[in-house]
Amino acid sequence: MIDNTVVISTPPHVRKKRSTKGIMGDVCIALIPAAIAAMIFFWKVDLGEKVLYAQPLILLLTCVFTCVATEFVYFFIAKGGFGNKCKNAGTVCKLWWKQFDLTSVVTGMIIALILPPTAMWYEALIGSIFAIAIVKMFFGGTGKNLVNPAATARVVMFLSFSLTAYAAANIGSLIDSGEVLTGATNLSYLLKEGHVSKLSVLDLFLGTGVNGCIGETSALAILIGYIYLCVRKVIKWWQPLLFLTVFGFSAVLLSGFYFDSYKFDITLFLPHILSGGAVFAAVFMFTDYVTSPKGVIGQLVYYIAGAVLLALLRFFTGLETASFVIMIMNILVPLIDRYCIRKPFGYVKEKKQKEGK
Amino acid sequence: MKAVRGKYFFGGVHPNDRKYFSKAAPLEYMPEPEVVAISTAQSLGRPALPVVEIGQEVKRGELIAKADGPISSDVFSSICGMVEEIKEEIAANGTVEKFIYIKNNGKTDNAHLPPLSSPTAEEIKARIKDAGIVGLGGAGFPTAVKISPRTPVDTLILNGAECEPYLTCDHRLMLEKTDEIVRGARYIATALGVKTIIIGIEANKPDCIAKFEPYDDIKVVMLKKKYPMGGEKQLVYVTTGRRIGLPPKLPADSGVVVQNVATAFAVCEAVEQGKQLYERVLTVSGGATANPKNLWVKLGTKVQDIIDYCDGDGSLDVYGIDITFDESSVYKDIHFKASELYDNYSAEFDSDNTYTLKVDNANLYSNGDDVPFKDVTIKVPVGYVKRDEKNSPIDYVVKKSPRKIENTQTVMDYCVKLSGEAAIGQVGAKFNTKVMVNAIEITVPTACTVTVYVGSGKNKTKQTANFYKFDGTLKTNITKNKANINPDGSDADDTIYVVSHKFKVAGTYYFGGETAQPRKVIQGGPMTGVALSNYDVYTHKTTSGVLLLTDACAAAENPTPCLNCGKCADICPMHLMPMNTEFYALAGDYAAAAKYGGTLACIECGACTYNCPAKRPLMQAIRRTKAEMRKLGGQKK
Repeated sequence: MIDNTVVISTPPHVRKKRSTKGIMGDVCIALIPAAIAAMIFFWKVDLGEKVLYAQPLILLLTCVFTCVATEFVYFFIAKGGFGNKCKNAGTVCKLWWKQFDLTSVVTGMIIALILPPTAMWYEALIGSIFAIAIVKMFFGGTGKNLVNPAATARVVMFLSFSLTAYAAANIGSLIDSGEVLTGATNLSYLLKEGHVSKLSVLDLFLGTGVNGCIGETSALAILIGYIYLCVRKVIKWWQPLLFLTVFGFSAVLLSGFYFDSYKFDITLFLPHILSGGAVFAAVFMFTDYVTSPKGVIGQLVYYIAGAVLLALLRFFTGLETASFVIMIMNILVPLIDRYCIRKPFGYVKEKKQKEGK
Repeated sequence: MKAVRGKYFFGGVHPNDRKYFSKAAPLEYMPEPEVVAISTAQSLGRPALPVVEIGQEVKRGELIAKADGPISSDVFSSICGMVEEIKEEIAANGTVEKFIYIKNNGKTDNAHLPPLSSPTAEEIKARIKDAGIVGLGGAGFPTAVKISPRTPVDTLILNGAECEPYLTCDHRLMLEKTDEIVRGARYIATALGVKTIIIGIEANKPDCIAKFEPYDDIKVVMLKKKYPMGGEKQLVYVTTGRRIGLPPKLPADSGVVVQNVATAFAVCEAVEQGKQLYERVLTVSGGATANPKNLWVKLGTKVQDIIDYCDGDGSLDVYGIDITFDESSVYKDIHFKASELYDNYSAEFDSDNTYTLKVDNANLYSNGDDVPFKDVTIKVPVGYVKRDEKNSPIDYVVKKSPRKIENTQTVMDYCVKLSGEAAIGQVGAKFNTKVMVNAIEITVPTACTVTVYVGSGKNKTKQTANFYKFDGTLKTNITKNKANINPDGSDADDTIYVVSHKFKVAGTYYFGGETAQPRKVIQGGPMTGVALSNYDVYTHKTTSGVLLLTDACAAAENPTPCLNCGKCADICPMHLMPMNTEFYALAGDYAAAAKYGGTLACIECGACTYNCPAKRPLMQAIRRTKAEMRKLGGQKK
């Protein structure tokens, strides 16, 4: 009865007390400030003809529930929960609970937070099912998806329901409908006119009066999440900073070329970063483990290329394209990983000696 | 010289070092064991060839196996005795090795070489070879080969980092044998012809740093506490700033030679006393160790003997069990007195690690009366006490692990030794010798009160002892007045705690400590050591510790899917990509695994596996890849 056996395994015999579930739990916690900010700023959405209440809460609940449920259903079917006259159902459920690592919760939260307040719950539902079933589970589940499920879901929703639901979603060139909401999209001014709109940098930072996707508007809330992630060592502190810095400078450069014939206005640096979904994407979506490069060199390439691509796409399409950029960069990641391999410690010396010969 | 800080190297992990278990325990000589089994494979190269015959008398330090090839080393007897057997056995790490069994004859004759005074470089080199000295840090590379480098060297680095958690043998050695280590280092430096001697010590050993600072010819480098700081390449980089090329490049190609402090000490003894390498310091530690120690242990000592010398594996020492029936007036004041059982018992070992204790002519005592009821006979089959006339059985079974008990003699030694002492008050039974058990299974046939007398020896760890029962896997405490043994670790040796419980219903209950069970037994350090399946293995020249880890420290976790988080690559001290190795190794493409993971440069420190949040078995994949690549390389040739 008493388990007197000893465990035999290969070294190391001590392990760090950190698990996938713990990391994903930390990401969930880091997303909470953004979710709270979304509740505060978009609790009541006045569309003119009708007024929507509690949109952020509805979207969050829909997305998280749908994501978890989709994962469960997929797992249940794949592991034969229906087989053998459903006799295995209980075992499969236990198995699912055992392997449940909160990744689908994170995906659901991110999908909800990158939706505009005008998105309907059924659109969020379809997006969530797509994200988990097709993007994640079809490719093998946690850790095996090629592209970021949340970003892909956002792209799918954008293309599927673009003109109805996404007119106000931080999208510059289609902005006229943005006026429907309280406050204009800052990004549209930046992209169309090359200057900052009525909103100050402080407004953009806090998210007051900014129109956009529900979780992306308040940079302060995202910053709190970022600090938490850094303290818990979930992400590397320099990754979002590198991305945003490169992005800001590229955007300033581009706007210099684009609008004011070689007049580079450095005061546009912060508005560019803080407008649209760049900060949120930098902290929560680019840093997704599964779809970002594994090595440090690859990560440098990934963030710099992603930032430049985002700035370029923003200017030449006039759209908020963070999700597209993430998808494109995600697809490039295997290639980056293949070529960006760190040289082993002590390699340099050997190379010099070879040259000497 | 005053300590300077070492350079920074990228990567590495910071496991809890848990050196507090054995840090304060001074070096101690373990008595010579009855039997030693010395493996002939004591160094990196080919195993040595036995030169003794069965039945031959050998002295301490006598050559018993001759080196076979350049990177093999001589093996010496560690005790005086007779060669009993030479046979092949599976060693702790799974390889088949030839063991020479020597039975102790109690003599203390030494077969040491003549001491050298003011030796030359050539003499020192010859002496190191003749004394069979190998690197005591872990790899077991013969020191004689290491100090005859192909390329000129200018620096000797002493490795005092001891970055492995738990291990404190080098720490104690540096504290207590500072002068010998320095002299040994000077001999090695003379042999190498180098002037600069650097010693690298991790910052968590400030006392050692202070000890080495007074020596003018030794440069002390204080290293950041980090694993694997004691890795050869890392150590050379942080102390001198030089990088060692990838294999087959050696430190000597960068002009340095690295030696462990324990090796330096062995060199000193070999030169000054002519002593061969047949004993070393090892740490006995871990949460399940009763009495963590740093011991001088003879080569080939059985791990079981070492654990026993350290008062067992942290389990409780049960002095006696007293069972009183409440219901029947016949049994009311009658105690089963185990003290009388000593002379006429026999014990059997069952296949499932339970012992059967059979006693034929035991006596019963009435309470407060020392006159035994001579006419009453009880029978005790397998811990099963039964009064013949009334057919009222009392069962108890003593369970022990992970020891393998082979004969009744061993049972007597370790399990139950009963004495003829008289009852002390209510104490119905008193075992004179401690019974070291992890848990006692007590089957209660009817309502009764069970009292257990328990002590923890010289246990330095906190323990609680109580009755509990299992509901499936859950352990439920059922004693309210559980004994908190050694709450401050200061209790005297002979304190006996009484834990009593009145069982109202029949059933099977257990008595034991909560933290005492070893879950993993490790030979070596926790990051690179070998997990043992039993205690019947023997120490090598390179065995630096025996660790008994508890459940909390050594939980075996199931791997979850890789997240590509890159945490293994971030901390890799060799800047490799372990996740790539594992990915391709799982797919069976070992060439790609080696190419994209950089596996062949891996030093197998285990930091990646330690750090992996998905608990992937990266180390296994790396070792497999290395083995497969070796096969591939062999085929090509």
